[in-house]
Amino acid sequence: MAQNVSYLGMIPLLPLIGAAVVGILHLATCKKKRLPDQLYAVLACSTPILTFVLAVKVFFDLNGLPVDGRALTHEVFTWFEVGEMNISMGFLADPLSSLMLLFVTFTASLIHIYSIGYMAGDESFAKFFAYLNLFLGSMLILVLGNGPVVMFVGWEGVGLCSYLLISYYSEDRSNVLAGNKAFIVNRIGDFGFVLGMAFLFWAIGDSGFDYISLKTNAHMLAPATVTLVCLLLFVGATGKSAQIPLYVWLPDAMAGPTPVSALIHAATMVTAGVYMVARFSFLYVHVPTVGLIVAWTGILTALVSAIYGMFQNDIKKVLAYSTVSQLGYMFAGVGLAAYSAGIFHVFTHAFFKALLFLGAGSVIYALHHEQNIWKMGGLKTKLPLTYKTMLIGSLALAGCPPFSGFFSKDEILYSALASGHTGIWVVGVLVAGMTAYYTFRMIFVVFHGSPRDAHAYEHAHEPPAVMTVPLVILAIGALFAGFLNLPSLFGGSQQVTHWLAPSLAEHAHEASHSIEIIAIAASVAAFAIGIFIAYRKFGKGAEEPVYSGFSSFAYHTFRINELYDVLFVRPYKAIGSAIGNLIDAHVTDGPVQLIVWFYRQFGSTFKLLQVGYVRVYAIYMIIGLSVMSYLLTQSFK
Amino acid sequence: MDLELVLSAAALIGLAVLIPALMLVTAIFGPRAKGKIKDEAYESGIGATIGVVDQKFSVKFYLLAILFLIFDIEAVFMYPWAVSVRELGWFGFIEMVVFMLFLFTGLIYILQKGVLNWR
Amino acid sequence: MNCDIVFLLPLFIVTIGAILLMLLSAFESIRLEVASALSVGIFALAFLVQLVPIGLTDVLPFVSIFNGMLAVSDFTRIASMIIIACGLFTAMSAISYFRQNNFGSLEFFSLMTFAVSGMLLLTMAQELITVFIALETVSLSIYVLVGYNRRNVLSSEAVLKYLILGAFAGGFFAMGIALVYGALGDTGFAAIAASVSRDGLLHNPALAGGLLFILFALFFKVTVFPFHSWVVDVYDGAPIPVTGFMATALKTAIIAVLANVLLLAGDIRESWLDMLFYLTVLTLFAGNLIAIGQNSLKRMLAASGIVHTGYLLIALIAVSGDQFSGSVILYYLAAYAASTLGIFASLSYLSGTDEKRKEFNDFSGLAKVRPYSAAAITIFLLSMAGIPPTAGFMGKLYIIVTAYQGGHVILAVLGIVSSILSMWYYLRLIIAMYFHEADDLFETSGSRSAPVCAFILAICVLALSLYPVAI
Repeated sequence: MAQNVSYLGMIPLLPLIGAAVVGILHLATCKKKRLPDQLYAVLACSTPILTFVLAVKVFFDLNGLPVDGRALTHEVFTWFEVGEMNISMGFLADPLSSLMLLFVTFTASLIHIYSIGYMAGDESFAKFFAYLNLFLGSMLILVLGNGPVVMFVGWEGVGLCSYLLISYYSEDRSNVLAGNKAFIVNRIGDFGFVLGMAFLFWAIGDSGFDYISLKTNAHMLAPATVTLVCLLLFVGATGKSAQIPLYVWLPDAMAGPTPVSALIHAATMVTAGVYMVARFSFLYVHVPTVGLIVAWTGILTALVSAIYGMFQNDIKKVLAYSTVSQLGYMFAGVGLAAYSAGIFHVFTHAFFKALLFLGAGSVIYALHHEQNIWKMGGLKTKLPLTYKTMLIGSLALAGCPPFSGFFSKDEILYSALASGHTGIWVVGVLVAGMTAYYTFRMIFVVFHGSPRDAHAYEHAHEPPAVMTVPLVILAIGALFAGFLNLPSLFGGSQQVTHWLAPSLAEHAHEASHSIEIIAIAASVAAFAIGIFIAYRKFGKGAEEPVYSGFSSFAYHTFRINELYDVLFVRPYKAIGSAIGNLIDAHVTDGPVQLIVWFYRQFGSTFKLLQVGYVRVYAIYMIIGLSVMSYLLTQSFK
Repeated sequence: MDLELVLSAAALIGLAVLIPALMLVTAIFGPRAKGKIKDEAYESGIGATIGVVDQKFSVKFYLLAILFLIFDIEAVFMYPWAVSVRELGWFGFIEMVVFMLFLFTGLIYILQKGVLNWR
Repeated sequence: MNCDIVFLLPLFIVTIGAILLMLLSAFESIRLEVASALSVGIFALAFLVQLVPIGLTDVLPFVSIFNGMLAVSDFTRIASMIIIACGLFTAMSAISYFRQNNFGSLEFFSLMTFAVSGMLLLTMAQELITVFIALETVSLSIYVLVGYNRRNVLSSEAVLKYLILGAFAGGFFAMGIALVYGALGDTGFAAIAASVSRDGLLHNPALAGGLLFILFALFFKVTVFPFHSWVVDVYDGAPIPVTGFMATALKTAIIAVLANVLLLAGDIRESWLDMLFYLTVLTLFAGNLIAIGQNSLKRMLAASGIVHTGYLLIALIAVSGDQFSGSVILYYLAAYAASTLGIFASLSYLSGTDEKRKEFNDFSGLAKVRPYSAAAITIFLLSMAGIPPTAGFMGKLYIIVTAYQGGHVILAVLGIVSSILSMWYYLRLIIAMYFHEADDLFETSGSRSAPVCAFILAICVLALSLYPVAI
């Protein structure tokens, strides 16, 4: 059924080779004469572009196959074989992964190119690109892996790269701490992933542990096991995709360079959780209860982070919370078994969020690393191209028809309404309004009104073409990506949904056009109200507000970080130091030290036998031989 | 049992037991005279004080001795070959030549290193 | 006939290479580097020839001429490959050592090549007198190598000890041959195997006694427990590259002979199973205890070599004799050789002039000054301690699994315990390198070949673990 193609293995391999080459060149030369940055740039940017070409090839190859057999596989080697566990390093491209593949390689290529401009003059230019390539390789392993174990390799790989890149400016301690936080919080999630994987293996792993075998054997699972596995896997997803309660790392992750935020913490890596849930849709579809938990977690995350987003001062923090919020939408979609809607939102989100981050990067670049929106203003005239592209991105994010975000978000909200989960729908519409508000609050404050910092304003200028061209390309994507999945109401044929159908176990929600029209009307109204309020408050210039009461509480993100600190971190540290200082030193170490002492004595005593005299050694040998001979004579009886 | 075997065993045992026994008996019962001169070691009339017994020889003696031994053994190898040279034929001849060549390389090494130069 | 030449070609290449090197050193016409490169070339050539597979069953090359005194199989082939590789890396790293210590002459490489040729002969020997001659070829070369630094008192002491005890063991070996010949009228392995499988080993006291003496001599060479005591002093006194060479190549060759002898006919091993069991246990723990007490790195490595011999004995006890492929033993030997040679190659250039850095404390803070060297040493040590993902781990794993499958559960457990004990002294160096402050600049002089050697071997250690043998 599945066709074996060997070029599939090249897709993750290319960026990994790129990372190795760039990394080794950098290591070999960083202490001596530096190689020109252009060399690294060409090396590092060629691999994502090549993978994008391959991704397109994968897409067309799949397209040429009959609908039921749309799967390409390639097994590179048997990774390990212990008992009945036989895991191969294999790759699988089906409609779902090919879609992910397309946009991941596409945005990655653009962001690599953008980074040439953004990182120009950086001291360890090559290191940055080596990490970026490594990230891309890991992400592609994650997407293309033919089973949970291979996916986990990529999962951990992207986590590592995320950590490395958040802490990229490691001279500043707070950046390092942010990296640590991301890593630790992700580990908590990974724990759930590993446990879920272990349970899954324990239950049906014997007869193959790749997606295809798992899918055929899924019916053998007991319902309780499915529930448990799905819950645990979702814990993993909350870590990677920043959902309640593990979302706290993502805003801090903005400490990394802006292209990193765009690529890793907006477009690709953070959507891995959504991808994973969609991958396991054949399990999730059997447990609607867990789906409901996923959906509610998602929509509540969307709500909470939208509230935070309304009160942030840092342009990247605003975007970070909007990312968390949009991820919440995606989970609401996949939780309600509208997998294609969730994945479609992943797809469109990649365009407009990467665009917004890169736009923010241009602003930050133009203002010499100023990130506070209250020190910007009036940049519309200075950065016209950035303004236009960011406006497109914001309209897409806020869900203005006919921009891409509108269609994908609307599909999620529509399926919530159609499946009868009115609560989720209401919250979703509310969040849509809030999204429009905070997005345009940012646009108005940054680009409209009068400049707040005259000096910075004077020196601001449009970044070089290597940065603006990707913006334009992404803007085109943000504009038109929505039309790929045009619902029938607008005369479309939902191509993406049909394309994804073979990979997903989806229930189509049949509902009348009238419900669809209600959903659309509500979304558009929410958007209009949100943008209206934002215009009223900030449209003609506003001063930095003083936060008090609720707004201060929201500005400080409901003091969740402090709460976690009190609830988890401090008790954990206290337990740790208690164990370290009391139990370890007095209880555990005692016997250990005793054994140590005993062995040291024993060893020293034994060392005495090594007197160093040849005659004594000869005597040992003779004694040994005598005993051996004696044993030999004994055995003659 | 073979009479011959018994006799030879008896002779060996006799030798092994009798000789020490006789020495012991004479040592116990024989007459003895003690004195300063009497207790000195017999040195053929030469006093025990001339020269050192544990004299050190030059290492060259040993080297030469070892080399002599090696080439002596080489010659010894040639005897059995010489005896059956016709049966072994050309193969044996070639083998012997190879053997001699190997030794010859050794000789070259020795000569070149100046082991045979007595200085 | 043509094939037969190919089977013995590595042996011929190495022997002729040794003679060539000897002649070159007589005329003293080349530099040390050239001699080193030449011997590396000889070994590389022999290694490449040795890559031609043979098959699992014994093949007797030139049976009409050699009368079955040599046999080759995949077992001897891979053992020879390990030995040749050991020679290659020793020749590479020795040059750094000599340059640093300002001594060394061309004969070193010639002697080492002679030793390797003897070892190759050892692995193939199917007859006791051949074994003896090969063993003496190896021993004589190594005696000279051990005492190579004539200005060093320790080195001279070491060679004297080794020579006396080695001659002692060699005497027993000759005695053993005499007894076996007296019992059977033949010294071939085939004749011994035939007699043992016909009547059983214990039927013939002279044969049993003779084989015991032979085992004794071989145990002496691989440092099995009561015959191990020389090893610490000798390894300590010998120049570092020689120590590495002895610890790896010699051990591989002797273990190959031991495997050939012990597994000749099932009854030989079965009759001595108890004895072998106790020797193994004692070897494991004696080695560990001696190693724990050492402060000097070379002495610790020498003592840890005893422990590795213990593991190999476990394998010798446990591998099935019926379809003997020896893959477990050979894998362990390869893993051990790679890590040991690696650490000695690193020491070759790190120990400084006159081996001034020899204690654990002398390497404090190495990681801060020379992070790559420290990382390489760490890889080697972890491999020797048996920590994944290194080759040493896989080697120990296979041996323990084999012991378990062969029903020797106690040995398997003791192997694990001993592995835990060994962490003590291996991790000690890692701790010294990484967690202590550096008060030394670790300046090195000499050629870059030893660092290159260490780098290649570090990769080997990691790569070997990826290509495990099928049990």
